[in-house]
Amino acid sequence: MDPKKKTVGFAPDNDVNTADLASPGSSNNSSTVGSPVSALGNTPDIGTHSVTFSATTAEPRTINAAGSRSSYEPMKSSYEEQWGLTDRTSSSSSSAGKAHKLASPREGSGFPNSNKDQAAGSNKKDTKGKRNSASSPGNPGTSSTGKESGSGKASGLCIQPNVGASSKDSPQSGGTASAGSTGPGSAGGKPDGSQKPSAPSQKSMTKAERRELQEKQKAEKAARVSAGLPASGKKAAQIVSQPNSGFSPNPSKSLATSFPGVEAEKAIAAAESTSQAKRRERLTKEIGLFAHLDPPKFANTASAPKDLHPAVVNVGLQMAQFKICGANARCVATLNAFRKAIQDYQTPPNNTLSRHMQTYLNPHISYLVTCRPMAVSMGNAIRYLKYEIGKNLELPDEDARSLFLEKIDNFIRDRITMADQVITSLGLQKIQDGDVILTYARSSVVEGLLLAAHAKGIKFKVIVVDSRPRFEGKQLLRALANAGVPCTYVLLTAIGHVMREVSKVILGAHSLLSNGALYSRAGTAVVAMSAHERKIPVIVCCETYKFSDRVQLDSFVQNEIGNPDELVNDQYNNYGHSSTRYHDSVRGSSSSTAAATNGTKGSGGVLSDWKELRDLKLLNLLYDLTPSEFVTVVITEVGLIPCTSVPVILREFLPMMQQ
Amino acid sequence: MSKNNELVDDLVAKLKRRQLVGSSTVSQATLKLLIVVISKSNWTTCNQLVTIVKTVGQRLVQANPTELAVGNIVRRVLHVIREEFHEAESTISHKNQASTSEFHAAPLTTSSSMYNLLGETGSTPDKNLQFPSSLRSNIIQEIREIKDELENIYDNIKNQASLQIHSNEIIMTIGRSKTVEEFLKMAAVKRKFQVLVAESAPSYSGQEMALELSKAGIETTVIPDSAVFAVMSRVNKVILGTHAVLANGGLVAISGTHMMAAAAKHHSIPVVVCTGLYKLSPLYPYDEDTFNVQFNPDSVLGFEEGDLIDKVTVTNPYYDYVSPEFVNLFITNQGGHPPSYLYRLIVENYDPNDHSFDL
Amino acid sequence: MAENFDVVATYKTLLLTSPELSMPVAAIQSLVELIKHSKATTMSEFMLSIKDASQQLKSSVRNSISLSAGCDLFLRFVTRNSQDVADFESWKRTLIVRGQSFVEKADACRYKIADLGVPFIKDGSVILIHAHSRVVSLLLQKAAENHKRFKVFVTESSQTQGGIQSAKVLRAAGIPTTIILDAAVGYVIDKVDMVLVGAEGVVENGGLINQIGSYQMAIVAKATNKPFYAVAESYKFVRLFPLNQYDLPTYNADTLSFQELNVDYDENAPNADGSLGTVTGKTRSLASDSPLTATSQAALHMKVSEDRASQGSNPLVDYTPPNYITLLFTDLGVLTPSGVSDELIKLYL
Repeated sequence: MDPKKKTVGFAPDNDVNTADLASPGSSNNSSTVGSPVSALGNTPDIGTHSVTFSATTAEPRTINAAGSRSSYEPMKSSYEEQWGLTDRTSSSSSSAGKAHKLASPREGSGFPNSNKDQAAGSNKKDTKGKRNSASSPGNPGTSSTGKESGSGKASGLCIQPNVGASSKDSPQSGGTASAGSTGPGSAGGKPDGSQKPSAPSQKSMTKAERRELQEKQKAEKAARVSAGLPASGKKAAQIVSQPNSGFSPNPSKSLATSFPGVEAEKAIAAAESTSQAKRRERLTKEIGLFAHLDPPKFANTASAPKDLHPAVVNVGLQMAQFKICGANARCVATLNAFRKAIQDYQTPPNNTLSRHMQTYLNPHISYLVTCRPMAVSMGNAIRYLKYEIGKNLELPDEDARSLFLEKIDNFIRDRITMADQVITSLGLQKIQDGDVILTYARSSVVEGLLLAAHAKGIKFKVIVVDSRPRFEGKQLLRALANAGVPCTYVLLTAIGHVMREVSKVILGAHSLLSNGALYSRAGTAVVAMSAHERKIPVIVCCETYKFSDRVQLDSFVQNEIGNPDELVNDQYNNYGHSSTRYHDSVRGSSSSTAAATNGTKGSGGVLSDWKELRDLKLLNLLYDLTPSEFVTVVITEVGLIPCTSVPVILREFLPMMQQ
Repeated sequence: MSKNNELVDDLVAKLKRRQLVGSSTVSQATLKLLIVVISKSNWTTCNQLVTIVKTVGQRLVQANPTELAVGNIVRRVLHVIREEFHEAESTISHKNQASTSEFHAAPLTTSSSMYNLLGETGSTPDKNLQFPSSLRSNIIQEIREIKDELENIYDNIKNQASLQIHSNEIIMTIGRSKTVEEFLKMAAVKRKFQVLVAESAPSYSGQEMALELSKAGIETTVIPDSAVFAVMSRVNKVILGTHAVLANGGLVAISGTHMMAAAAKHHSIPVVVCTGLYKLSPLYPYDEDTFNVQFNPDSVLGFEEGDLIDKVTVTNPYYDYVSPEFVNLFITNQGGHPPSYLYRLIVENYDPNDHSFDL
Repeated sequence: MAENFDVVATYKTLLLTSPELSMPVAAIQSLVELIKHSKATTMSEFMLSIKDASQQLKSSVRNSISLSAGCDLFLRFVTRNSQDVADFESWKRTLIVRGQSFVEKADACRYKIADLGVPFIKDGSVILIHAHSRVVSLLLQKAAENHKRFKVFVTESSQTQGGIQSAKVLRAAGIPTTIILDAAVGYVIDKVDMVLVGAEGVVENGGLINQIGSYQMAIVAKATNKPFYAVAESYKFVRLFPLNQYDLPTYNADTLSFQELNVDYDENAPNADGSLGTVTGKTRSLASDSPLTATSQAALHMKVSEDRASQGSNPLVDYTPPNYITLLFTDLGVLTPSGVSDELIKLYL
């Protein structure tokens, strides 16, 4: 690929400190960048991508070949490593020591930008060579243009390659991009968002990437102004892209100008600047405290790499749309989808099934991650699967296949289904006649336990507490009510009111962390705290496969952000009437005027125009962390344990259970 | 008199039908009514006037028992009446003061109730004292001052805003409170800070609050109630409005306030309550639900759920009770006070004989 | 002039003749009697005699907190009124009149308090009370009269047998009552909705001085988030500010001292009530062996408490700091602990 082309759009090579990383990074960046964004050829796609994928996955960050790290490169997170996604090698080209990238997805992944792939492929070779070059003067473009590789550093901003439009010179731009993609060899974030989980968690990459991007943009803007261009990126791009505009950006920086063919790229860049501007706008809507997390994802089939097994794509989409939600459900669905994938898998020539399986599965995994961040349950299951795969590299193909299928079935049977049954039987001991049990949202384990208790004839009442925006508790309520359990339904705000008559609280878990904390649906902490206040015992039902060796103290460092539009109350959301009308009934006519004005807004939601208001943001947090002192006991299939004993279980039992 | 009755009936009807809702509006309406009642009715002694006002007060309170502001205003007026009468009495008795072996203990009887144990009982029987004609107008004047105070509530409170908020703070609040809104808007003039607003389902009043604040240029984020504990660790202060403040320092506030205050306590984050003094009630919460109101369950689980609603009970309390140990500071139109000082404010503004309107 | 009026004797007689009279009221009444019999002719002599009598009263009774409160209050009242005295004799007469009315009012205090406290008792609640307090019993009786249905746990308080007394009174009013061991407070607290205690005295910061065991109950109540209410008449407010348990005037260094405990409980010696119950086993073997029968247990208790009482080695009252107290029901109204100091300041300043 034309190096220039490569560089034009995406100068990921340059890390924030261009100086530092320029070289090592650049090469890689170009390669990666090249691929996805090589864009030049795929301008239209790029545009599309930027629109479709609001959140591109972050470029996996990797430690560049030189072993040095850009100052902005975050530490490798164990996120990816945990899920065994780090051994990705997709790119045969990737050099050893290269970051783990999910290069393979690119390859033949059927991305819309297939040429990118090719470009990537070709670039890789180049890259390899260049990789270790200290600096790539040869890639002036990259550094100079600092066009970000579109990869939309996922930093959650759907920042697509800002194709240089805005910045001709910001060395920092490269930084951002490079940061994202960096890593030598890191596959620059593909705009389509396929992940390169390989490297440190995308989250960490994201944050730095984003920061770099922002700085880059600031610098670009400043540069533009100083260079006499209008501050707006678009206009600047337009001016610059006109070859005869007479504008000559700082020669030292705009390498783009020094290359032929750059004009074409400038045009592309200009086109992209609009999307970039859009992204920048969305940029301001992110909450500062959660900037390190991925923004909500909107996957669709177009984004899926073409060579994924349809079952997996299916599951991914269902998860993204929250049609499958809940740790157990997602895990089981994922495993079943993988099961099908393994079943239908045809080993490519010159490869054995067991050896190639990981390679085959990784793109699926990364696709799932792009749909929704990996759940701990899924992650643990996948890790187990990979472990089994890794253990049986020598098996003949069909044996391996059936073994893996069996392992998957066993996992589901032993760690999920049977575990649930054991938990139910243990939990039944704790439910007595006359109990008033409170539960929150919907946990499949708790539902099973309560239904079993009812079937056993224990007389108890249930209070189901629910909250926005998902209102998952309604499902549980329906199931219980249909079974004949006397139920009460309240929203989370009424918790102080109902808690006084509760005798026990039973909660489900997304995961139990090694410091004893409970990571579960947002709102669980509120329920546990209210119960603790009144010395009401809090029981958590959690299978051991959900235990994680992560430690976490607050709900910020790791979490998942949902779609903020879900918080807007209009008729398309769960909430039926507008808040103003509600208040009318309480507050009488005095607020009718307010209602009138609000009523004129669209479909009645108070916040329906939230995007237009500069200072208004919506935060839809999906999970929260409950400190261990609020939890009285955890019921697992190995027995009743205090929640501080989670690491003990991880250490002692699980290796045994894995046999 | 009958005209008075009409007016009273009118206000009672409005309260019953919940046409007049909101402590501030209700208080002002009550004051207006009482001014009219006092100026137009016939009375000569303290007890008579007190009886008249108490009757009116009882009717108003019964019309909407959870709107505590009504009772508070009536009690304030009664307190003013008693004070004015007492002053008038003491000036008269001083004039008539012959040498008497009676102990006056006059300056002391009203102040120390303990002292009253050993002193004169203070309730002098109707002594056909000729009260100066200015008494009536004095009383009305005092009541007008209360009215002015009510109208300027927000000013006094918001002027304390920049004393309580520093730069780069993250403040959390819940629901919609005009007082807090004014407070924050005033603070935003001089300070740069962020606000997180919890929506408070199912009224979602928090969303309106966020809208207003963001229009005023304050960086605001709306969070669902489930995220309250999760984000609390990064919050610097919790600033709350309230429907009423009870005598022990407890709050009757919009539902969801209790969990926010408890989460703040867990993280050791100060909780500040902005309220006008007219919301301070001398009543005690015998029960957490004494002043609560159950609201339309439709907003929690609506008819669209089908036959599910027949099988389950749905509760939708509008208010929450927050116990006094969760609150760190009250910002009132008379300045800032700790919860332990509320007792004093009650004694200063209300008379113990007026706590109940039973005659 | 020598006083041949024995204040202490009057006081004791008063207590004996009207068991419902509380100590401070009896003290004030005896002081009023003193004034009646006072032969002092000058103000200073008079004040001196009153102060003297006060001292005598205080030192005559072992547990004199509430007594001190009453005396101090009366003294304060006299002092305050002694500013402009025209005629000494008529002043004395007025004092006497006032004193009498005070005594009458004092009795009414209890009913006032009961009225205030009744709404706090909810139907179906379980209340924990401590030993025997007349005000508390009255409050509960009133609540029962108002057709509230509730149950009561009362701590045995073996020293004074207060629990048994309380139980008698309450059961007579139709309230289901159970006597529990003092040590079982932690066990029952989760079943209880509120804790209600009386008071010997209320100190300046709103803290409570009451029979030994109250502090423990307050701590347990606080740890389990149960409301702890104290019931006190306002004449029990006393101008003390204890810093801790040992800062009380009733503190005796001998209390809880480590003395020889080789006490042999002579099985054959008669018990305090004259009966000849057998005490199987000595203190040492109590822990092991067969459980004692109820009577012998009771007998043993009596012996042990005599032992303690005679040695003076166990305290009779303790101090509960204000942060454990939710509300105080007094005849001045329902107060928060900080409101108490307000009242005291107003009185004494």
